[in-house]
Amino acid sequence: MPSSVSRIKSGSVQEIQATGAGFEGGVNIRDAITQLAPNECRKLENGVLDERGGFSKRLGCLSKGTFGSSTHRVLSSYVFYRVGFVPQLIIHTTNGDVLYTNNPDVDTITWSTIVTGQSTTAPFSFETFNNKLYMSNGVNDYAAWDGSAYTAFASAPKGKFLRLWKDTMWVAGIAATPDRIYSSNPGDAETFGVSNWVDIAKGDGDQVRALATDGMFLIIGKRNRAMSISDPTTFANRVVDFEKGFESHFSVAQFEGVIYYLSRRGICQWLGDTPSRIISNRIDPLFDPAVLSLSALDRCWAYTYENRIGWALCEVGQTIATLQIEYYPRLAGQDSIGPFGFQRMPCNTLVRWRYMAREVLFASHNGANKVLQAFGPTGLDDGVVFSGLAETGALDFNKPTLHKYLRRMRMLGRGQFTLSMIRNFRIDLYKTFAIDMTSDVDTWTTGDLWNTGVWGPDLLLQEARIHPDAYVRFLTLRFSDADADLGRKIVPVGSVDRSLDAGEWAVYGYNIDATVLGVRD
Amino acid sequence: MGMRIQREVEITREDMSRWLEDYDGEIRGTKKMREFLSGKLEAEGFDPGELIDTTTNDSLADGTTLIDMLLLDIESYA
Repeated sequence: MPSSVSRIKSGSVQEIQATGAGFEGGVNIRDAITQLAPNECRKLENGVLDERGGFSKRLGCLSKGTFGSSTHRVLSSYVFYRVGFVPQLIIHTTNGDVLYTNNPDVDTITWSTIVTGQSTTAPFSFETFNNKLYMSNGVNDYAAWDGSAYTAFASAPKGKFLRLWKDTMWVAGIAATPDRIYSSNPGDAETFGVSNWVDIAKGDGDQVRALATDGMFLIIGKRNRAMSISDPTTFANRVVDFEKGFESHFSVAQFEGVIYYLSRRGICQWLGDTPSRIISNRIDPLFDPAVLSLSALDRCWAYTYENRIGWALCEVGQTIATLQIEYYPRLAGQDSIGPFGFQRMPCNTLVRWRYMAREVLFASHNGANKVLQAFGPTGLDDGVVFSGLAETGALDFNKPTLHKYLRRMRMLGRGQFTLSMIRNFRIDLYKTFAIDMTSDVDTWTTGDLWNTGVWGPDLLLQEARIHPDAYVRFLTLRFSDADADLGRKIVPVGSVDRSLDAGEWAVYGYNIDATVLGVRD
Repeated sequence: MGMRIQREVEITREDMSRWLEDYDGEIRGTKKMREFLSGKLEAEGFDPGELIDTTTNDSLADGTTLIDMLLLDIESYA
Protein backbone atom coordinates (compact mmCIF):
# COMPACT_ATOMS: atom_id res chain seq x y z
CA MET A 1 0.00 0.00 0.00
CA PRO A 2 1.47 3.35 -0.97
CA SER A 3 2.04 5.87 1.72
CA SER A 4 -0.33 8.33 0.09
CA VAL A 5 -3.28 6.15 0.94
CA SER A 6 -3.26 6.00 4.64
CA ARG A 7 -6.17 3.79 5.41
CA ILE A 8 -8.75 1.86 3.53
CA LYS A 9 -11.98 1.95 5.40
CA SER A 10 -14.36 -0.27 3.60
CA GLY A 11 -15.28 -2.25 0.55
CA SER A 12 -13.98 -5.40 -0.97
CA VAL A 13 -11.43 -5.06 -3.78
CA GLN A 14 -13.20 -4.63 -7.08
CA GLU A 15 -11.65 -4.64 -10.54
CA ILE A 16 -12.94 -2.17 -13.08
CA GLN A 17 -12.21 -1.61 -16.72
CA ALA A 18 -13.06 1.86 -17.92
CA THR A 19 -13.21 2.87 -21.56
CA GLY A 20 -12.85 6.46 -22.61
CA ALA A 21 -15.86 7.86 -24.43
CA GLY A 22 -13.70 9.73 -26.91
CA PHE A 23 -13.60 13.42 -27.70
CA GLU A 24 -16.59 13.89 -29.96
CA GLY A 25 -18.38 16.14 -27.47
CA GLY A 26 -15.73 18.78 -28.05
CA VAL A 27 -14.82 21.39 -25.52
CA ASN A 28 -17.11 22.35 -22.66
CA ILE A 29 -16.09 25.32 -20.56
CA ARG A 30 -19.62 26.12 -19.46
CA ASP A 31 -20.33 23.25 -17.12
CA ALA A 32 -18.71 22.49 -13.80
CA ILE A 33 -15.91 20.05 -14.25
CA THR A 34 -17.88 17.32 -12.52
CA GLN A 35 -20.76 17.79 -14.94
CA LEU A 36 -18.91 17.29 -18.19
CA ALA A 37 -20.23 14.53 -20.39
CA PRO A 38 -17.82 11.61 -20.73
CA ASN A 39 -17.02 12.59 -24.31
CA GLU A 40 -16.39 16.27 -23.56
CA CYS A 41 -13.13 17.99 -22.81
CA ARG A 42 -12.29 20.80 -20.45
CA LYS A 43 -9.55 21.92 -22.78
CA LEU A 44 -9.27 21.32 -26.47
CA GLU A 45 -6.84 23.32 -28.54
CA ASN A 46 -4.88 23.05 -31.74
CA GLY A 47 -6.53 19.84 -32.76
CA VAL A 48 -9.32 18.64 -34.97
CA LEU A 49 -12.15 16.19 -34.53
CA ASP A 50 -11.60 14.72 -37.96
CA GLU A 51 -12.69 11.22 -37.01
CA ARG A 52 -15.69 10.85 -34.74
CA GLY A 53 -14.48 10.19 -31.24
CA GLY A 54 -10.85 10.86 -31.98
CA PHE A 55 -8.68 13.92 -31.46
CA SER A 56 -5.80 14.77 -33.79
CA LYS A 57 -3.29 17.51 -33.46
CA ARG A 58 -3.91 19.93 -36.30
CA LEU A 59 -1.63 20.71 -39.19
CA GLY A 60 0.45 23.86 -39.04
CA CYS A 61 0.62 27.10 -41.00
CA LEU A 62 2.96 27.43 -43.94
CA SER A 63 4.25 30.85 -44.94
CA LYS A 64 3.59 31.92 -48.49
CA GLY A 65 5.85 34.93 -48.29
CA THR A 66 5.44 38.56 -47.37
CA PHE A 67 3.72 41.65 -48.71
CA GLY A 68 4.40 45.35 -48.14
CA SER A 69 6.61 46.16 -45.19
CA SER A 70 6.96 44.51 -41.81
CA THR A 71 4.32 46.58 -40.00
CA HIS A 72 1.60 45.91 -42.56
CA ARG A 73 -1.24 43.51 -41.77
CA VAL A 74 -4.25 42.31 -43.68
CA LEU A 75 -7.62 43.92 -43.00
CA SER A 76 -9.67 41.68 -45.23
CA SER A 77 -9.18 39.11 -47.93
CA TYR A 78 -11.17 37.47 -50.66
CA VAL A 79 -10.92 34.93 -53.45
CA PHE A 80 -11.97 36.27 -56.84
CA TYR A 81 -13.20 33.41 -58.99
CA ARG A 82 -13.40 33.80 -62.76
CA VAL A 83 -14.16 31.05 -65.18
CA GLY A 84 -11.08 30.12 -67.15
CA PHE A 85 -8.65 31.80 -64.79
CA VAL A 86 -6.75 30.79 -61.71
CA PRO A 87 -8.68 32.43 -58.85
CA GLN A 88 -7.00 35.59 -57.65
CA LEU A 89 -6.35 36.05 -53.96
CA ILE A 90 -7.12 39.62 -52.93
CA ILE A 91 -5.94 41.33 -49.74
CA HIS A 92 -6.61 44.78 -48.31
CA THR A 93 -3.75 45.87 -46.08
CA THR A 94 -3.26 48.32 -43.24
CA ASN A 95 -1.12 50.36 -45.60
CA GLY A 96 -4.23 51.17 -47.58
CA ASP A 97 -3.27 48.90 -50.46
CA VAL A 98 -5.53 46.44 -52.20
CA LEU A 99 -3.30 43.73 -53.64
CA TYR A 100 -3.86 40.68 -55.76
CA THR A 101 -1.98 37.67 -56.91
CA ASN A 102 -2.77 35.64 -59.97
CA ASN A 103 -1.68 32.46 -58.24
CA PRO A 104 -1.41 32.12 -54.47
CA ASP A 105 -0.66 28.40 -54.62
CA VAL A 106 3.09 28.82 -54.88
CA ASP A 107 5.93 28.82 -52.36
CA THR A 108 6.28 32.60 -52.43
CA ILE A 109 3.36 34.70 -53.60
CA THR A 110 4.00 37.60 -55.97
CA TRP A 111 1.72 40.50 -55.14
CA SER A 112 0.52 43.17 -57.52
CA THR A 113 -1.46 46.31 -56.83
CA ILE A 114 -5.11 46.93 -57.58
CA VAL A 115 -5.26 50.31 -55.88
CA THR A 116 -3.35 52.24 -53.22
CA GLY A 117 -4.29 55.07 -50.88
CA GLN A 118 -7.36 53.37 -49.46
CA SER A 119 -8.41 53.24 -45.82
CA THR A 120 -5.84 51.83 -43.43
CA THR A 121 -8.48 50.74 -40.90
CA ALA A 122 -11.82 50.05 -42.60
CA PRO A 123 -11.78 46.58 -44.19
CA PHE A 124 -13.19 46.16 -47.66
CA SER A 125 -16.20 43.98 -48.16
CA PHE A 126 -16.07 42.11 -51.47
CA GLU A 127 -18.58 40.50 -53.81
CA THR A 128 -18.34 38.94 -57.26
CA PHE A 129 -20.93 39.75 -59.94
CA ASN A 130 -20.92 39.87 -63.73
CA ASN A 131 -17.33 38.61 -63.76
CA LYS A 132 -16.18 41.55 -61.69
CA LEU A 133 -15.07 41.96 -58.14
CA TYR A 134 -16.87 44.77 -56.30
CA MET A 135 -15.49 46.31 -53.17
CA SER A 136 -16.67 48.83 -50.62
CA ASN A 137 -15.60 49.78 -47.11
CA GLY A 138 -17.63 52.82 -46.09
CA VAL A 139 -14.73 55.19 -46.58
CA ASN A 140 -13.44 54.89 -50.11
CA ASP A 141 -15.34 54.85 -53.36
CA TYR A 142 -17.30 51.75 -54.25
CA ALA A 143 -15.22 50.12 -56.93
CA ALA A 144 -14.91 47.26 -59.38
CA TRP A 145 -11.99 45.09 -60.46
CA ASP A 146 -12.23 42.86 -63.49
CA GLY A 147 -8.97 41.06 -62.89
CA SER A 148 -6.82 43.62 -64.61
CA ALA A 149 -8.53 47.03 -64.39
CA TYR A 150 -9.84 49.00 -61.42
CA THR A 151 -12.83 51.34 -61.74
CA ALA A 152 -14.21 53.55 -58.97
CA PHE A 153 -17.83 54.69 -58.85
CA ALA A 154 -17.82 57.91 -56.87
CA SER A 155 -21.58 58.32 -56.89
CA ALA A 156 -22.40 54.82 -55.63
CA PRO A 157 -23.28 54.43 -51.95
CA LYS A 158 -20.15 54.27 -49.82
CA GLY A 159 -21.24 51.45 -47.58
CA LYS A 160 -19.16 49.21 -45.37
CA PHE A 161 -20.92 46.07 -46.49
CA LEU A 162 -21.85 44.45 -49.79
CA ARG A 163 -24.07 41.48 -50.49
CA LEU A 164 -25.26 40.11 -53.77
CA TRP A 165 -28.88 38.99 -53.71
CA LYS A 166 -31.34 38.42 -56.54
CA ASP A 167 -28.90 39.64 -59.19
CA THR A 168 -28.64 42.93 -57.37
CA MET A 169 -25.87 44.46 -55.30
CA TRP A 170 -26.97 45.53 -51.84
CA VAL A 171 -25.02 48.07 -49.86
CA ALA A 172 -25.27 49.14 -46.23
CA GLY A 173 -23.19 50.74 -43.56
CA ILE A 174 -23.04 54.40 -44.56
CA ALA A 175 -22.21 56.46 -41.51
CA ALA A 176 -24.78 59.18 -42.28
CA THR A 177 -27.58 56.68 -42.93
CA PRO A 178 -26.88 53.81 -40.54
CA ASP A 179 -30.29 52.13 -40.95
CA ARG A 180 -30.39 52.32 -44.73
CA ILE A 181 -30.04 49.53 -47.26
CA TYR A 182 -29.32 50.47 -50.87
CA SER A 183 -29.78 48.33 -53.92
CA SER A 184 -28.27 48.63 -57.35
CA ASN A 185 -30.36 48.27 -60.45
CA PRO A 186 -31.17 44.62 -61.16
CA GLY A 187 -28.36 42.94 -63.06
CA ASP A 188 -26.19 46.04 -62.88
CA ALA A 189 -24.02 46.48 -59.82
CA GLU A 190 -22.66 49.76 -61.12
CA THR A 191 -25.88 51.76 -61.35
CA PHE A 192 -27.90 52.78 -58.32
CA GLY A 193 -31.29 54.43 -58.62
CA VAL A 194 -31.88 57.45 -56.42
CA SER A 195 -34.90 55.89 -54.73
CA ASN A 196 -33.57 52.36 -54.32
CA TRP A 197 -33.19 52.41 -50.61
CA VAL A 198 -35.11 51.46 -47.52
CA ASP A 199 -34.67 52.22 -43.84
CA ILE A 200 -34.89 49.25 -41.53
CA ALA A 201 -35.86 50.05 -37.94
CA LYS A 202 -34.93 53.65 -38.48
CA GLY A 203 -33.65 55.56 -35.52
CA ASP A 204 -33.51 52.61 -33.17
CA GLY A 205 -30.09 53.69 -31.97
CA ASP A 206 -28.51 50.75 -33.72
CA GLN A 207 -26.84 50.41 -37.09
CA VAL A 208 -26.54 47.82 -39.79
CA ARG A 209 -23.56 45.61 -39.07
CA ALA A 210 -23.98 42.86 -41.58
CA LEU A 211 -25.69 41.84 -44.77
CA ALA A 212 -26.18 38.18 -45.51
CA THR A 213 -28.36 35.99 -47.64
CA ASP A 214 -29.62 32.46 -47.70
CA GLY A 215 -30.63 32.89 -51.32
CA MET A 216 -34.27 33.48 -50.53
CA PHE A 217 -33.96 36.54 -48.35
CA LEU A 218 -31.58 39.38 -47.75
CA ILE A 219 -30.68 39.33 -44.08
CA ILE A 220 -29.95 42.60 -42.34
CA GLY A 221 -28.12 42.31 -39.08
CA LYS A 222 -27.99 45.09 -36.58
CA ARG A 223 -26.25 44.66 -33.26
CA ASN A 224 -29.39 43.85 -31.32
CA ARG A 225 -31.77 42.39 -33.86
CA ALA A 226 -32.04 40.92 -37.31
CA MET A 227 -34.44 41.57 -40.15
CA SER A 228 -34.92 40.25 -43.64
CA ILE A 229 -36.03 41.68 -46.97
CA SER A 230 -38.14 39.29 -48.98
CA ASP A 231 -38.83 41.34 -52.11
CA PRO A 232 -36.03 43.11 -53.96
CA THR A 233 -38.48 45.41 -55.72
CA THR A 234 -40.74 46.61 -52.93
CA PHE A 235 -38.14 46.04 -50.19
CA ALA A 236 -40.81 44.27 -48.13
CA ASN A 237 -39.16 43.43 -44.85
CA ARG A 238 -39.83 42.03 -41.41
CA VAL A 239 -38.12 41.46 -38.12
CA VAL A 240 -36.89 37.91 -37.74
CA ASP A 241 -35.01 38.04 -34.48
CA PHE A 242 -35.82 40.80 -32.03
CA GLU A 243 -33.05 40.20 -29.54
CA LYS A 244 -30.06 38.65 -31.26
CA GLY A 245 -28.11 40.65 -33.77
CA PHE A 246 -24.96 40.40 -35.83
CA GLU A 247 -21.61 41.57 -34.55
CA SER A 248 -19.68 41.30 -37.78
CA HIS A 249 -20.46 41.24 -41.48
CA PHE A 250 -17.40 39.03 -41.86
CA SER A 251 -18.61 36.53 -39.27
CA VAL A 252 -21.28 35.15 -41.57
CA ALA A 253 -20.61 31.72 -43.03
CA GLN A 254 -22.81 29.31 -44.89
CA PHE A 255 -22.25 25.60 -44.46
CA GLU A 256 -24.43 22.95 -46.02
CA GLY A 257 -27.38 25.27 -46.44
CA VAL A 258 -27.24 26.83 -43.01
CA ILE A 259 -26.05 30.30 -42.11
CA TYR A 260 -23.95 30.77 -38.99
CA TYR A 261 -22.80 34.08 -37.53
CA LEU A 262 -21.51 35.78 -34.43
CA SER A 263 -23.89 37.59 -32.13
CA ARG A 264 -23.12 39.15 -28.78
CA ARG A 265 -24.57 36.04 -27.19
CA GLY A 266 -22.37 33.67 -29.12
CA ILE A 267 -22.44 31.77 -32.37
CA CYS A 268 -25.91 31.64 -33.89
CA GLN A 269 -27.56 29.42 -36.43
CA TRP A 270 -29.95 31.31 -38.70
CA LEU A 271 -33.30 29.55 -38.87
CA GLY A 272 -34.88 31.60 -41.63
CA ASP A 273 -38.27 32.54 -40.28
CA THR A 274 -37.84 32.26 -36.53
CA PRO A 275 -35.32 33.72 -34.13
CA SER A 276 -31.85 32.29 -34.46
CA ARG A 277 -30.61 29.54 -32.24
CA ILE A 278 -27.47 29.90 -30.19
CA ILE A 279 -25.26 26.88 -30.70
CA SER A 280 -22.20 27.87 -28.70
CA ASN A 281 -23.75 27.14 -25.30
CA ARG A 282 -20.90 24.94 -24.23
CA ILE A 283 -18.37 27.72 -24.70
CA ASP A 284 -20.56 30.47 -23.24
CA PRO A 285 -17.92 31.86 -20.86
CA LEU A 286 -15.84 32.79 -23.89
CA PHE A 287 -18.24 35.60 -24.77
CA ASP A 288 -17.35 37.64 -21.72
CA PRO A 289 -15.82 41.12 -22.01
CA ALA A 290 -12.98 39.93 -19.83
CA VAL A 291 -12.17 37.21 -22.35
CA LEU A 292 -12.99 38.57 -25.77
CA SER A 293 -12.45 42.11 -26.98
CA LEU A 294 -15.99 43.39 -27.47
CA SER A 295 -14.76 46.40 -29.37
CA ALA A 296 -13.17 44.13 -31.94
CA LEU A 297 -16.08 41.75 -32.49
CA ASP A 298 -16.82 43.58 -35.73
CA ARG A 299 -13.58 42.11 -37.03
CA CYS A 300 -14.62 38.53 -36.31
CA TRP A 301 -13.87 36.55 -39.45
CA ALA A 302 -15.59 33.30 -40.43
CA TYR A 303 -14.23 30.52 -42.61
CA THR A 304 -15.25 27.05 -43.63
CA TYR A 305 -12.83 24.22 -44.15
CA GLU A 306 -13.24 20.47 -44.41
CA ASN A 307 -15.88 19.41 -41.89
CA ARG A 308 -16.00 22.58 -39.85
CA ILE A 309 -16.71 26.27 -39.61
CA GLY A 310 -14.31 28.57 -37.85
CA TRP A 311 -14.34 32.09 -36.48
CA ALA A 312 -11.20 34.12 -35.82
CA LEU A 313 -11.65 36.32 -32.76
CA CYS A 314 -9.72 38.97 -30.86
CA GLU A 315 -9.10 38.18 -27.23
CA VAL A 316 -9.29 40.95 -24.67
CA GLY A 317 -6.68 43.63 -25.19
CA GLN A 318 -6.04 42.56 -28.77
CA THR A 319 -6.92 44.34 -31.98
CA ILE A 320 -6.25 41.41 -34.28
CA ALA A 321 -7.45 37.84 -34.04
CA THR A 322 -5.53 35.62 -31.66
CA LEU A 323 -7.95 32.74 -31.31
CA GLN A 324 -10.12 30.62 -33.56
CA ILE A 325 -13.15 28.66 -32.50
CA GLU A 326 -14.30 25.84 -34.72
CA TYR A 327 -17.68 24.18 -34.95
CA TYR A 328 -18.43 20.71 -36.33
CA PRO A 329 -22.05 20.60 -37.56
CA ARG A 330 -21.68 17.07 -38.90
CA LEU A 331 -20.82 15.74 -35.46
CA ALA A 332 -24.06 17.05 -33.98
CA GLY A 333 -25.50 15.13 -31.10
CA GLN A 334 -29.10 14.52 -30.08
CA ASP A 335 -29.69 18.22 -29.57
CA SER A 336 -28.54 18.71 -33.17
CA ILE A 337 -25.73 20.92 -31.93
CA GLY A 338 -22.22 19.89 -32.77
CA PRO A 339 -19.01 20.19 -30.80
CA PHE A 340 -16.63 23.13 -30.65
CA GLY A 341 -12.88 23.28 -30.36
CA PHE A 342 -10.28 26.02 -30.08
CA GLN A 343 -7.31 26.77 -32.29
CA ARG A 344 -4.48 29.14 -31.68
CA MET A 345 -3.19 29.76 -35.14
CA PRO A 346 -1.42 33.00 -36.03
CA CYS A 347 -4.27 33.70 -38.42
CA ASN A 348 -6.54 36.68 -38.84
CA THR A 349 -8.58 36.58 -42.03
CA LEU A 350 -9.05 33.19 -43.66
CA VAL A 351 -10.41 32.36 -47.11
CA ARG A 352 -10.74 29.06 -48.94
CA TRP A 353 -9.23 28.96 -52.40
CA ARG A 354 -9.98 26.18 -54.85
CA TYR A 355 -8.61 25.57 -58.30
CA MET A 356 -8.50 22.33 -60.22
CA ALA A 357 -7.04 19.65 -57.94
CA ARG A 358 -6.08 22.04 -55.19
CA GLU A 359 -8.03 23.44 -52.25
CA VAL A 360 -6.18 25.62 -49.79
CA LEU A 361 -7.20 27.72 -46.81
CA PHE A 362 -5.23 30.97 -47.00
CA ALA A 363 -4.88 33.12 -43.91
CA SER A 364 -3.32 36.41 -43.10
CA HIS A 365 -0.73 36.34 -40.34
CA ASN A 366 -1.79 38.13 -37.17
CA GLY A 367 1.74 39.21 -36.27
CA ALA A 368 3.57 39.62 -39.55
CA ASN A 369 3.11 40.89 -43.08
CA LYS A 370 2.60 37.37 -44.37
CA VAL A 371 -0.01 35.22 -45.98
CA LEU A 372 -0.11 31.65 -44.71
CA GLN A 373 -1.53 28.37 -45.79
CA ALA A 374 -3.54 27.31 -42.76
CA PHE A 375 -3.70 23.58 -42.04
CA GLY A 376 -0.81 23.15 -44.45
CA PRO A 377 1.68 20.30 -44.78
CA THR A 378 3.83 21.31 -41.83
CA GLY A 379 4.05 20.64 -38.13
CA LEU A 380 4.93 24.26 -37.36
CA ASP A 381 3.07 27.56 -37.35
CA ASP A 382 5.23 29.67 -39.64
CA GLY A 383 8.31 28.02 -38.20
CA VAL A 384 7.15 28.12 -34.59
CA VAL A 385 6.37 25.03 -32.53
CA PHE A 386 2.83 24.79 -31.23
CA SER A 387 1.16 22.33 -28.88
CA GLY A 388 -1.93 20.27 -29.36
CA LEU A 389 -3.96 19.84 -26.21
CA ALA A 390 -6.89 17.70 -25.15
CA GLU A 391 -7.82 17.51 -21.50
CA THR A 392 -10.70 15.39 -20.32
CA GLY A 393 -13.12 16.13 -17.53
CA ALA A 394 -12.70 14.46 -14.16
CA LEU A 395 -13.25 10.73 -14.55
CA ASP A 396 -14.52 8.99 -11.43
CA PHE A 397 -15.23 5.51 -12.84
CA ASN A 398 -18.76 5.81 -11.43
CA LYS A 399 -17.39 5.61 -7.92
CA PRO A 400 -16.73 9.21 -6.93
CA THR A 401 -16.18 8.60 -3.25
CA LEU A 402 -13.78 5.72 -3.53
CA HIS A 403 -10.10 5.70 -4.32
CA LYS A 404 -8.95 3.72 -7.29
CA TYR A 405 -5.59 2.20 -8.08
CA LEU A 406 -4.80 2.56 -11.78
CA ARG A 407 -2.88 -0.46 -12.82
CA ARG A 408 -2.82 -0.36 -16.56
CA MET A 409 -3.83 1.97 -19.36
CA ARG A 410 -3.96 1.37 -23.08
CA MET A 411 -4.29 4.01 -25.73
CA LEU A 412 -5.09 3.65 -29.38
CA GLY A 413 -3.59 6.37 -31.52
CA ARG A 414 -0.62 7.44 -33.53
CA GLY A 415 2.38 9.67 -33.20
CA GLN A 416 4.20 10.96 -30.20
CA PHE A 417 2.78 12.96 -27.34
CA THR A 418 2.77 13.38 -23.59
CA LEU A 419 0.09 11.98 -21.35
CA SER A 420 -0.26 13.74 -18.03
CA MET A 421 -2.49 12.67 -15.19
CA ILE A 422 -4.07 15.14 -12.83
CA ARG A 423 -5.88 13.80 -9.83
CA ASN A 424 -8.68 15.04 -7.64
CA PHE A 425 -9.04 18.46 -9.29
CA ARG A 426 -5.55 19.57 -8.41
CA ILE A 427 -3.58 21.94 -10.59
CA ASP A 428 -0.26 20.17 -10.50
CA LEU A 429 0.51 17.18 -12.65
CA TYR A 430 0.45 13.89 -10.79
CA LYS A 431 2.05 11.62 -13.36
CA THR A 432 3.51 12.21 -16.80
CA PHE A 433 4.23 9.65 -19.49
CA ALA A 434 5.92 10.03 -22.84
CA ILE A 435 3.87 8.11 -25.37
CA ASP A 436 5.61 7.07 -28.55
CA MET A 437 3.54 5.40 -31.21
CA THR A 438 5.76 6.42 -34.09
CA SER A 439 7.67 3.23 -34.67
CA ASP A 440 6.67 -0.19 -35.90
CA VAL A 441 6.04 -2.72 -33.21
CA ASP A 442 7.44 -6.17 -33.77
CA THR A 443 5.43 -8.68 -31.84
CA TRP A 444 7.83 -11.45 -32.81
CA THR A 445 11.19 -11.98 -31.27
CA THR A 446 14.32 -12.88 -33.16
CA GLY A 447 13.81 -16.45 -32.05
CA ASP A 448 10.53 -16.81 -33.84
CA LEU A 449 10.50 -18.77 -37.03
CA TRP A 450 8.56 -16.13 -38.94
CA ASN A 451 11.06 -13.43 -38.23
CA THR A 452 10.88 -11.77 -41.60
CA GLY A 453 9.87 -8.15 -41.65
CA VAL A 454 7.91 -6.43 -38.95
CA TRP A 455 4.88 -8.12 -37.47
CA GLY A 456 2.65 -5.89 -35.52
CA PRO A 457 0.26 -2.99 -35.68
CA ASP A 458 0.47 -0.53 -38.52
CA LEU A 459 2.76 2.44 -38.04
CA LEU A 460 -0.17 4.83 -38.25
CA LEU A 461 -2.42 3.10 -35.79
CA GLN A 462 -0.87 1.70 -32.68
CA GLU A 463 -1.73 0.78 -29.17
CA ALA A 464 0.44 2.02 -26.36
CA ARG A 465 0.39 0.58 -22.87
CA ILE A 466 1.51 2.21 -19.68
CA HIS A 467 1.38 1.25 -16.05
CA PRO A 468 0.29 4.38 -14.23
CA ASP A 469 0.73 3.00 -10.71
CA ALA A 470 -1.52 5.82 -9.61
CA TYR A 471 -4.02 6.37 -6.82
CA VAL A 472 -6.91 8.66 -7.61
CA ARG A 473 -10.51 9.42 -6.83
CA PHE A 474 -10.95 11.69 -9.82
CA LEU A 475 -8.67 11.44 -12.82
CA THR A 476 -8.09 14.02 -15.52
CA LEU A 477 -6.12 13.02 -18.58
CA ARG A 478 -4.17 15.61 -20.49
CA PHE A 479 -2.82 14.76 -23.93
CA SER A 480 -0.35 17.32 -25.24
CA ASP A 481 2.93 17.79 -27.02
CA ALA A 482 5.58 20.31 -27.95
CA ASP A 483 6.88 18.73 -31.12
CA ALA A 484 7.41 20.03 -34.60
CA ASP A 485 6.79 16.94 -36.65
CA LEU A 486 4.18 16.25 -39.25
CA GLY A 487 2.08 13.11 -39.07
CA ARG A 488 0.11 10.92 -41.42
CA LYS A 489 -3.24 9.30 -41.18
CA ILE A 490 -4.89 6.55 -43.14
CA VAL A 491 -8.20 6.93 -44.90
CA PRO A 492 -9.44 3.53 -46.07
CA VAL A 493 -11.13 3.89 -49.45
CA GLY A 494 -12.44 0.43 -49.99
CA SER A 495 -9.45 -1.83 -50.48
CA VAL A 496 -7.09 1.11 -50.89
CA ASP A 497 -5.60 2.91 -47.93
CA ARG A 498 -4.87 6.56 -48.65
CA SER A 499 -2.21 8.17 -46.53
CA LEU A 500 -2.86 11.84 -45.81
CA ASP A 501 -0.98 14.61 -44.09
CA ALA A 502 -2.15 15.01 -40.53
CA GLY A 503 -1.09 16.54 -37.27
CA GLU A 504 1.71 14.72 -35.53
CA TRP A 505 -0.38 12.67 -33.16
CA ALA A 506 -3.87 11.47 -32.46
CA VAL A 507 -5.75 9.64 -29.76
CA TYR A 508 -8.68 7.51 -30.79
CA GLY A 509 -9.49 5.89 -27.48
CA TYR A 510 -8.18 4.61 -24.20
CA ASN A 511 -8.92 1.95 -21.62
CA ILE A 512 -7.96 1.82 -18.00
CA ASP A 513 -7.72 -1.17 -15.72
CA ALA A 514 -8.16 -0.17 -12.13
CA THR A 515 -8.90 -1.55 -8.74
CA VAL A 516 -11.42 0.12 -6.51
CA LEU A 517 -9.85 0.47 -3.12
CA GLY A 518 -12.16 2.27 -0.75
CA VAL A 519 -12.62 5.45 1.19
CA ARG A 520 -9.54 7.32 2.20
CA ASP A 521 -9.90 8.97 5.52
CA MET B 1 -48.66 66.32 -58.31
CA GLY B 2 -48.25 63.13 -60.26
CA MET B 3 -50.21 60.27 -58.75
CA ARG B 4 -48.47 57.29 -60.26
CA ILE B 5 -46.79 55.42 -57.46
CA GLN B 6 -43.72 53.44 -58.33
CA ARG B 7 -40.67 52.29 -56.56
CA GLU B 8 -38.02 52.92 -59.13
CA VAL B 9 -37.38 56.04 -61.12
CA GLU B 10 -35.00 56.43 -63.98
CA ILE B 11 -32.68 58.74 -62.18
CA THR B 12 -29.42 57.36 -60.97
CA ARG B 13 -27.13 58.38 -58.21
CA GLU B 14 -24.68 59.32 -60.90
CA ASP B 15 -27.21 61.84 -62.27
CA MET B 16 -27.76 63.18 -58.80
CA SER B 17 -24.02 63.51 -58.13
CA ARG B 18 -23.60 65.39 -61.36
CA TRP B 19 -26.41 67.79 -60.42
CA LEU B 20 -24.97 68.37 -56.98
CA GLU B 21 -21.71 69.54 -58.49
CA ASP B 22 -23.63 72.57 -59.73
CA TYR B 23 -25.03 73.35 -56.30
CA ASP B 24 -23.52 76.00 -54.09
CA GLY B 25 -24.79 76.08 -50.51
CA GLU B 26 -25.76 73.86 -47.59
CA ILE B 27 -26.91 70.50 -48.75
CA ARG B 28 -29.26 69.56 -45.95
CA GLY B 29 -32.75 70.75 -45.19
CA THR B 30 -32.63 74.00 -47.06
CA LYS B 31 -35.34 75.44 -49.20
CA LYS B 32 -32.64 76.34 -51.64
CA MET B 33 -31.66 72.72 -52.12
CA ARG B 34 -35.28 71.71 -52.63
CA GLU B 35 -35.74 74.36 -55.28
CA PHE B 36 -32.45 73.44 -56.90
CA LEU B 37 -33.25 69.75 -57.19
CA SER B 38 -36.82 70.39 -58.26
CA GLY B 39 -35.47 72.51 -61.03
CA LYS B 40 -33.06 69.78 -62.10
CA LEU B 41 -35.81 67.18 -62.07
CA GLU B 42 -38.16 69.30 -64.11
CA ALA B 43 -35.40 70.11 -66.54
CA GLU B 44 -34.86 66.39 -67.06
CA GLY B 45 -38.57 65.78 -67.52
CA PHE B 46 -39.35 64.35 -64.10
CA ASP B 47 -42.12 65.43 -61.78
CA PRO B 48 -40.70 66.33 -58.33
CA GLY B 49 -44.09 65.56 -56.83
CA GLU B 50 -44.33 62.10 -58.26
CA LEU B 51 -45.12 59.67 -55.50
CA ILE B 52 -42.75 56.84 -54.80
CA ASP B 53 -44.11 53.75 -53.09
CA THR B 54 -42.51 53.70 -49.66
CA THR B 55 -44.97 51.38 -47.96
CA THR B 56 -42.17 49.16 -46.73
CA ASN B 57 -40.12 52.01 -45.35
CA ASP B 58 -40.47 52.16 -41.57
CA SER B 59 -40.41 55.88 -41.18
CA LEU B 60 -42.26 57.01 -44.29
CA ALA B 61 -45.86 57.12 -45.41
CA ASP B 62 -47.08 54.80 -48.13
CA GLY B 63 -46.12 57.33 -50.73
CA THR B 64 -43.26 59.83 -50.65
CA THR B 65 -42.62 62.45 -53.28
CA LEU B 66 -39.63 62.06 -55.50
CA ILE B 67 -38.10 65.31 -54.32
CA ASP B 68 -38.47 64.20 -50.71
CA MET B 69 -36.82 60.88 -51.50
CA LEU B 70 -33.85 62.76 -52.92
CA LEU B 71 -33.64 65.10 -49.95
CA LEU B 72 -33.96 62.29 -47.44
CA ASP B 73 -30.92 60.57 -48.90
CA ILE B 74 -28.86 63.66 -49.65
CA GLU B 75 -26.36 62.92 -46.88
CA SER B 76 -25.26 59.70 -48.53
CA TYR B 77 -23.71 61.79 -51.30
CA ALA B 78 -21.30 63.49 -48.96
